[in-house]
Amino acid sequence: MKGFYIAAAYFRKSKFQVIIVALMITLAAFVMGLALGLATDYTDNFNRTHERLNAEHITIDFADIGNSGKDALTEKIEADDRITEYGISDVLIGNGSCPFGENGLLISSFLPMRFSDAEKLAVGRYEITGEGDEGDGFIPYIFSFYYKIGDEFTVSLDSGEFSFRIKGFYNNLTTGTVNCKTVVLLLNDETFDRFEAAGLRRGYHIGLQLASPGEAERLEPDMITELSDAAPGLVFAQSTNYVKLSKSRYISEKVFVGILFAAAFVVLTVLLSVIAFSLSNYVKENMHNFGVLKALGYESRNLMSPIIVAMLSLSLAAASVGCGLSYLLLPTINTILEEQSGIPYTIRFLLLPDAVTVGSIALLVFLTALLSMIKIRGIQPITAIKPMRKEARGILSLPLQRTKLELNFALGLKAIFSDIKKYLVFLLTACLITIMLCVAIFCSDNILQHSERIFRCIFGNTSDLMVRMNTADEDAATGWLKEQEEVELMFLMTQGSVCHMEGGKIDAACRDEEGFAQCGYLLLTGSFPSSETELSLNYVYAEKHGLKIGDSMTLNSNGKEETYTVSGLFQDASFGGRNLFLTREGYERLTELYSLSYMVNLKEGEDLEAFIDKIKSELPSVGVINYREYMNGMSSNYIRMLNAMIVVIIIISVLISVLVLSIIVNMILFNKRREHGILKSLGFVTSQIVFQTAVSFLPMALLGSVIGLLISRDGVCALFSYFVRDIGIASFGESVQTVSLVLCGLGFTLFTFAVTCILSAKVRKTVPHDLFNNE
Amino acid sequence: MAENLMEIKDLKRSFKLESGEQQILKGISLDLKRGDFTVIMGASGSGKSTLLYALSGMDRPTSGQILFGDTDITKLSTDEMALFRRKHCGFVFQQICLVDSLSVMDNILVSGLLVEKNRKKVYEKAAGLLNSVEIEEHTFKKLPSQISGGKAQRVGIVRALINDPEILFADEPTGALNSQTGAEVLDIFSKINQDGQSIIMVTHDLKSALRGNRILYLKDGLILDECRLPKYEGENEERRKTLSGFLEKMGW
Repeated sequence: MKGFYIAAAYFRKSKFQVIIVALMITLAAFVMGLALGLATDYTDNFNRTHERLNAEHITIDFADIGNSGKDALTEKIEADDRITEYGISDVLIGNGSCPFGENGLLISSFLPMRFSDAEKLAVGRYEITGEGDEGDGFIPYIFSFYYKIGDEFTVSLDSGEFSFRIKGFYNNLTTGTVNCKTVVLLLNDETFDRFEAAGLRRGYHIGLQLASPGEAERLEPDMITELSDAAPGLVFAQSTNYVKLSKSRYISEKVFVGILFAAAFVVLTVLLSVIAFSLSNYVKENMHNFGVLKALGYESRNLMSPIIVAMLSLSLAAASVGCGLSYLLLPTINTILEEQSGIPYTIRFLLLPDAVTVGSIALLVFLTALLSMIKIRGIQPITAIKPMRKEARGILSLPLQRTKLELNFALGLKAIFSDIKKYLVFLLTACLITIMLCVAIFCSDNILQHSERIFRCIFGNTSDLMVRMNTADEDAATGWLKEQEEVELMFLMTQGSVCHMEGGKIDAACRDEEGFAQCGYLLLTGSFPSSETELSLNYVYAEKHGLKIGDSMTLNSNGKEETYTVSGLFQDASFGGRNLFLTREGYERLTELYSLSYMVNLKEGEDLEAFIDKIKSELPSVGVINYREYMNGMSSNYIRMLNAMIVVIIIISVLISVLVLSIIVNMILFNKRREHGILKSLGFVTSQIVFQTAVSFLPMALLGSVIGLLISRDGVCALFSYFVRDIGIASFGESVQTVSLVLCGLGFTLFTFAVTCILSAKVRKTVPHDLFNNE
Repeated sequence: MAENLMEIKDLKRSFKLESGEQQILKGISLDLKRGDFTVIMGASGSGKSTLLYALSGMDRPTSGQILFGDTDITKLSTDEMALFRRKHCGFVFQQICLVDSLSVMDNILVSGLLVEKNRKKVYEKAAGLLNSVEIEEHTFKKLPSQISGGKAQRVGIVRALINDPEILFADEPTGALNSQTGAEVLDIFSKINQDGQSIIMVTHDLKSALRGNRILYLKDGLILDECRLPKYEGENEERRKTLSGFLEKMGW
């Protein structure tokens, strides 16, 4: 019972601080719970969906130009003991594009398939996520963010434009998103027949389940080669594997979770420092009372344990509330992440992440409270009841007769030296908040305001057009393009898949000299290939396989092997770190180029759409893609996610700043109520005392910002690069601009000044005669 | 005839308590003269401190007028009252009330620099005043907690005088001091009053009251009576008898 009174006294005397601490615990649990939930269950959703849909470990698409491959494929697959289950679907095959994202375009391989065939599949099942009464076909769930049931869906393929009405959306792990590179269109028989009659090639979509799923990445090229060899009429079109998909479908989720964990770290660090400071201050302020209680026979543990237990209970309750509240934000975050992953996620109660969140926060609060209150053990009754003496502070006391500063400014600065601990807590907060704000500025600067930087990272260039042509048409088409006055420059950029003998399938692209000169991918070391025996390699792949400049790599394409020397390492986010560059001659040593892609940049101010129409009318045999739209389409959901992240960071930063400032300003006003009363009796007005209080925070806000900004200047770039390292980016964009950093620091300092002015305005309630009543 | 310093008309002050409204000042009217050393006496709860706070502009009366020249300070806003205190008043507290975190010199400068911006001038004046109350230069940098109570109260007096106030208010200035240091403080009061400083002091101490030349006695929120004495020029038996007789008559 006596413990209850001690805890109650703490809550009564420090009720404002307790409320702020409770709010901060709630915020910490909110962010941490969200991060842990996403990090564990959201990623696991891929595995759960994989199991539920009995999904494939490898998918391979073949065009069947000989019209006799299916039996041979079946025979070959059934004979392979590495394969446990499989499915072969008859499809049509076409490469092309469709509107996607906000004013964007998706370039992909499209596979129209009969819905009736899809329904029979045992491996790689299709799950309907939304269905209308009428319509001709189902498209992947990811399209549901941009299309509605009943809308007309139009896809531009090599052999023309194809349209149908959307009946609904499906979920499938290997064919349902922009990262799969294959979009299956599940059509009714009538529409399928119409597409086939319009000239699309027949082919097969093969789904394989392996005895060793972890081997999928390594086995994929072997399977392609072996199945290609099974029937002479088969032409490889596209493939993917379980390992690659499980990574690529959750890129944005990883970045988002990374940012949330960083925010949780900031909130927790600030929270614990506030608790430590608040409890130390409580012990200091109540040393006399503790001394008296000790004189009455209380032991240190009798005084410490009630408050520690109270803090523990508070943390358990507030953290539980925080975890609960995180479920309110989850639907919004889920929508943003589903737009990128394309996999539906059902929000559910996550006991383990929530328990870990609540438990770890409670443990940290408990340990902090214990360490902060341990000073009680050192309080002796006789020393505790003596009045405390303040020591002189020498030069740091900033004598008024020596300073040239305005009186109130000088008094504000002097306040710092009289109670430096309070201000150090804010210094730490300012530093961490500035780092968080720099992350937001970095995202805004490098991605939202200067989208060409992220485009260069992901797409390697920021061209206006992609023109696709058969090799036979190359001279005529490129000759015509070069003559057009709208064209500023053009270069070759053709991609295909080859096989690295030691590492599996890898995307290979060939460029001409201009292509390498215009290449936006950052060359980390060495050079792009300059001869037919050289290649440059994605650094992620190089690191994974221990390859460095000067090493040899043997590549294989359709059974033909060639050896190349690594001339340089580059970064590229578009192939999950698995790609390389060859010269055109180098590429042709390995395989024949049947079709080519040229990237075209138009002169400033030229009408892109008009030029596309001009190409279509003048060069009917080539395919033309608005590459700007494609980049917009591919990046729009990332940009939306980044916008959400920036909003989250700013909200958290504002909340933490206001909460920390509230607790410190409140403590200052309480501890200084006597001093403020004296100043008012001397003739100081409220606004002067408010100004003094606000000014006292400026140096720490400024210093914290400078430290935070110095850390952030290169640190944020490194941190962001760490998050996206797995997808092939070693160095992301540019460091935060100095101007932005300075504005951030000044902005935060002004914000601090404004908030402290508002918070300290309650000093108006301090009237001089209260001073005497308190005596 | 001495010039009027303050004119107080029907001054009332009441406080709202849980038990109901309690009227402390019940309609005080009086004139305060320039150059007087006015002492306010009375039993505990008589309203003497409340009257002092009202006169000094630290508290706002419930009704009535306090005319300082043509200005009714009861009508001033909170900030205007602060400016009034800054410009016209000095205050010496029973509990001394120096700012703990400021040095002796800074405690004086913080008040002086509110009125005069020339730091050097204020510093020299503060140093002069401190020397006049026998505070040595090596004490200037010390914190209030590092000096004795007597010295601290002398610093408090210097702080109250730094802006040459027209009225010096003192609330039991010797209440927290021993008799010797209390006498030293009262000597300072007497000296500055002889130099022309108007003083209004609340006390319940006879020795302190003897320093005044006008003693007001409050009872139940009203001035019961007052006693006039010649200006203080040192203690004498006649002065003591007159005041004792007055106080005895008042039931003190």
